[in-house]
Amino acid sequence: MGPDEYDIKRDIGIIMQNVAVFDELTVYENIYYFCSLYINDKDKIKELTEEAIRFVSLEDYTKFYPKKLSGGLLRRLNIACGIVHKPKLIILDEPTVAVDPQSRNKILEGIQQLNEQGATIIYTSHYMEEVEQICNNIAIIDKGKVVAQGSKEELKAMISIGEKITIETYQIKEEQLMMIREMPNVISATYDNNLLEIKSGRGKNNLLQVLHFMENNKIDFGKVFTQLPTLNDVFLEITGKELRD
Amino acid sequence: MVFQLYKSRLKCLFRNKENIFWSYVFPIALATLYYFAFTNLFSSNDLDTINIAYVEDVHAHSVHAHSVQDENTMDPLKDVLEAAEISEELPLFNVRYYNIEEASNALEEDEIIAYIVSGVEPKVYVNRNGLSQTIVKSFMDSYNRAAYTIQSILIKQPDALNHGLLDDVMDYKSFTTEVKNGVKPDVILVYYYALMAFCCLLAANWGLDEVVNIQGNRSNRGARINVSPIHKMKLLLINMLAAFTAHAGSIVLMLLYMIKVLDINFGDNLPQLILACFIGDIIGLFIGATIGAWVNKSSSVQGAISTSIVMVGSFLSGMMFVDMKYLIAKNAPILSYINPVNLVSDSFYSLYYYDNFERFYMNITILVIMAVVLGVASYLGLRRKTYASI
Repeated sequence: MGPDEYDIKRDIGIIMQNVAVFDELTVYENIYYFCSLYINDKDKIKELTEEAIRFVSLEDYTKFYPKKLSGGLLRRLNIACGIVHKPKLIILDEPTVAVDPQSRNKILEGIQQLNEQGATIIYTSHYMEEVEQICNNIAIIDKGKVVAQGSKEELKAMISIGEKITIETYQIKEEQLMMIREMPNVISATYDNNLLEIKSGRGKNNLLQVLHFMENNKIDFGKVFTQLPTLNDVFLEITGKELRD
Repeated sequence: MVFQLYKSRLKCLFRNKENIFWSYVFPIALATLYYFAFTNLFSSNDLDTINIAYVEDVHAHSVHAHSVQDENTMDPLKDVLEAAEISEELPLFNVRYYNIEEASNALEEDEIIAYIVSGVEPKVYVNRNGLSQTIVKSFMDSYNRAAYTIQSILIKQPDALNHGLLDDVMDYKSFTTEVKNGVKPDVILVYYYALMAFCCLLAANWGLDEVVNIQGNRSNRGARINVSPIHKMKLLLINMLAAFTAHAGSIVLMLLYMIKVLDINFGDNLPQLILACFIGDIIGLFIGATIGAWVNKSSSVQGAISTSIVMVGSFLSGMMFVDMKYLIAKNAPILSYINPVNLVSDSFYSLYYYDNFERFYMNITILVIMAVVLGVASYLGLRRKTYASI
């Protein structure tokens, strides 16, 4: 897309990771300003500005300057500035970084709402649970390249882990842990912070086998959880566990 | 849309405390400082009569018995000292007649500023430096030069006294002429002109901000603006217009303050004066814009370059040292014509001192050409920029 593709640009909204607003303008004035970069009609700008304020629930802060807003409110203002002109394609780059849970929830709900209203959303994030919650087509990008792509189910099917069992216990020994690791279909078994975590491969379920082992070896245990693999597991398995820059 | 964007940009500029301080408060503070520092610098009102002592060196008279000075007559230095005056009512010296010991004691106790020991070559004794001491010294230097001249002439032509020698020697002629009807040359105005030109050119920092704000790789806002469907140059022009409006306001305010509060007389050509200010403003904005578009360094480095250009230009135009303006004009005149601060201050100067606008319009024409060149340079600099990734 060239810099002069104004018709295409008009349909795109970008919400950057860093908050991109004017410190000298109030919440209302900031949203109004960015709307006036897209819309000519004064009444229409006013109407869209008010709508965007309602959308991000900033009605009580319209006269506040950005420096007076909390991190969550600032993120919501950033989003309002990006979507005020009602774009058809919205690109969000980590919009929930350093945001409190309530604001994060509000932002995610808003994004889903925009999608329901017909906008296509491209959402970039390192928070896999958010991606799992709101995205229906996911691409994992590592070192600038798409390494996996598909729905969350499709991505989960790409990895070896089928199930994750977590057991609360206080008395497991190293040799017992070794025996668990040798069970068929077990990929890994770790014990940390009184939690035994067993990852098993696809196909055969290991829960009963593990519980029998605990009972036979007289290992007391408390709560037991089983979990299907998460996108986090998918991400780690596909991209590896080494630290990134 | 254009007006909405212009209005929003104006709000941003007027709410930026740093900008407002440097463009609105700082120039007024500087003008006030100049006013208190310079107003009485060249006025004789605050000169007081200086207490001095005259010591007659009897020994000197006997040794120089054959000098042209007659021993029986009064030493002419006494008369000259008595006759010197600051104004008609105010003598320059209050002369006391002491012997050498009394004079020395009086000097020690600060009763007198200096004492003069008579003789063929009278000597001045002071015990510290200062304006009054310098006046006494300068006065005596002049006296010695005149005495030596008379002496030399009388040796060759003893009857010269009868042909008006004294009148000729004492007749000081000034070769400085006033160039405008009734306008008294005022060196202090050069400082004010340089200050005004400096303030106009301070708009460079505003121009720089506007260009930085609009570049996608320089600020987050710039990135957001670049993905919007507005033409970048159109937005830059709107922002520059807002910056010009806000900065020109600071110049008008400073001008009003200097005329109404400090009571500085800038002559009768106020519209032309304001025109020169506005063109100086535009030049300043474009200098900043060109730096922003072409200097590929951090904002702080760009800011430092912009401020340095304005400061050096102001120095060369005489803002800190008034003789610099004349030194440059005499030794490196080309610098006078490429230094925008000097061109702006010289425009003010020519309005005040010349009774035609020839020099003023010459300066304005050079400034307009400069503005066009800088405007085109900043446009080309911004146009060539593309962003692979924002």
